[in-house]
Amino acid sequence: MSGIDWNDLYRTTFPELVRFLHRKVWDVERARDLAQEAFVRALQHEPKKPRAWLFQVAANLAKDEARTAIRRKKHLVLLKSDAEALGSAFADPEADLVEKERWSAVRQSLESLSKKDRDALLLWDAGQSYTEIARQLDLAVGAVGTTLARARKRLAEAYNEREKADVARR
Amino acid sequence: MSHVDEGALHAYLDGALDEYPVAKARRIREHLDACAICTERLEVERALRSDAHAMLGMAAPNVDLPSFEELRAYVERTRPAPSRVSLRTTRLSWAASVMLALGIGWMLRGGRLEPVADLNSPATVALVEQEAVTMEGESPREGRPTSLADASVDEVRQITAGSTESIESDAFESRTDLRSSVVARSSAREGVSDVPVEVAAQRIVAAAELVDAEVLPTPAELPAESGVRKAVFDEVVTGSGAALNSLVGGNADTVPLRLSGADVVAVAEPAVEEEEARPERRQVESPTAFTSQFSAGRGSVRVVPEDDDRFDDEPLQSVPGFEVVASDNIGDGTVFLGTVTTQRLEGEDMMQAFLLEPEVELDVLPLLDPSVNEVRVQAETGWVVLRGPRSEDELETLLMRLFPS
Repeated sequence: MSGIDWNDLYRTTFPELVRFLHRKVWDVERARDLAQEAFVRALQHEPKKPRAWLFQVAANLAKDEARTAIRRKKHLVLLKSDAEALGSAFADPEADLVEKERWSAVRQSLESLSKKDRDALLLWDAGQSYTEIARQLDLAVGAVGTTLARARKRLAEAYNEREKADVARR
Repeated sequence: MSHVDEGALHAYLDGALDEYPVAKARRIREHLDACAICTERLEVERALRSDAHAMLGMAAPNVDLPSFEELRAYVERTRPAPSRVSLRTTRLSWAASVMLALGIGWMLRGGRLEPVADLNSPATVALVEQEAVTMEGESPREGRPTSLADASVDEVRQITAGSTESIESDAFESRTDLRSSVVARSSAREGVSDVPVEVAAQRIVAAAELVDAEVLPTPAELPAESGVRKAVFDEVVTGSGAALNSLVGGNADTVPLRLSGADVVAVAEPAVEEEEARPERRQVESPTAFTSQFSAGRGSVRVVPEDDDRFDDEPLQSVPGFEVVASDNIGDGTVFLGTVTTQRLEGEDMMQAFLLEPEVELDVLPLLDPSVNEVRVQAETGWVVLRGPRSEDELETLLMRLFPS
């Protein structure tokens, strides 16, 4: 393999990749599967810039879920036991409900953003640099900050509006 | 300097000023050091950034880290063989020859042997390439090859021992090696055809000048004698006689192989080659839907089966940010030539990105429709071509997005 420390890259990037994907598919298991699929591909292709490559592939995978579903299933069977052994993050039904409500609030708030703003925010939150975000979203590096500023503002507004509406309903 | 804009404030907070041009970054830092207004604004943006981060954090799942060693071991186990083209060639040739063989077998059904001359008559050519067959019934007898693809001609003859149908294959064997194996394999098919069979996802290759898509059968019209209970045809691919000949492993000097009449064949073969799940197939509702969009192209470019997924893993075959409508491999029947990805630009506007293999020339591509423009670049990996109803400048911008670095 190349001089890349894949083990280290995997340890540092996998959680970020799952977080990134989770905000796109809103399903932890699917996000994990897609992240693993992206790593499988990265290990097969050994790209020169694996981190940016992984996020690009992950974004494409999330977009093209149906097409890859069967192959993903095939690829990831071996890792199933891991996930099962570690147990579900939502073993407690009550905690599950609270968690899902929270996710739903964030999800709806994110959906109020434009696609570009949302993608920029999710990429940033997943640890991508301005340069990497610029490349993926076809922006100038100098425009990434403006995009993120707008996205953060809109997210906070949408979330707070939702909170207020919830309070008013109760 | 005027006040710093919000974007720069966020870049400052994100530690991204180092990614800005040096002079600009220096000006921003100096301004923030000196300007009380902007310092105050910075604190507002800091709070906003923190809020947004917390909100996203609320939707962050607990991520368990699966074993990297297992992942790597899996990748090593499943790493594709070095020569992709040769794999493809091998698979296509045996599949096509088996299809042709079974076509002949079908022609011969009922013990009737057609004259050899019919094979060369200018009649409809129709080959069906089998994609997947599942069978019920008895397991293959011990010691026998489990797949025709794995069987030598002699082994095939052994398989057919006990077949109730007599095949006079010697007459054919004298023609060419290909035909002898074809006929031997056709007799093998007769040996197993009494077992209930389901054929899913087939491919039809037909000579454009000789066959009309309308004459191709729907699954319901498949003859019961073929042993086929169900067949789904994906597409019709057209090509010249020579292309078909190369498809079945012959050379350009050989007379194109043709079947007689309007026989479109379906085949039955024990499926034991792969256990893995196959991609879902679309159901074809009308014979005309078989026609490939590449049938009008120069050369013999065509879409190759969806389950030929060797290049599905290429992440660079689509332009980021656009819906992928279709993604196919292309080849000339025996050689893998590249990939084509269709993406939606806007509404019904589509663009196509062709990534050709090294050494593959551009003339394999379909003729350019006058309503679209084309831009191309020769990369290390071969030609990359983008076509779409946009100006060349716009297409060039999109083309460059295929290369993340």
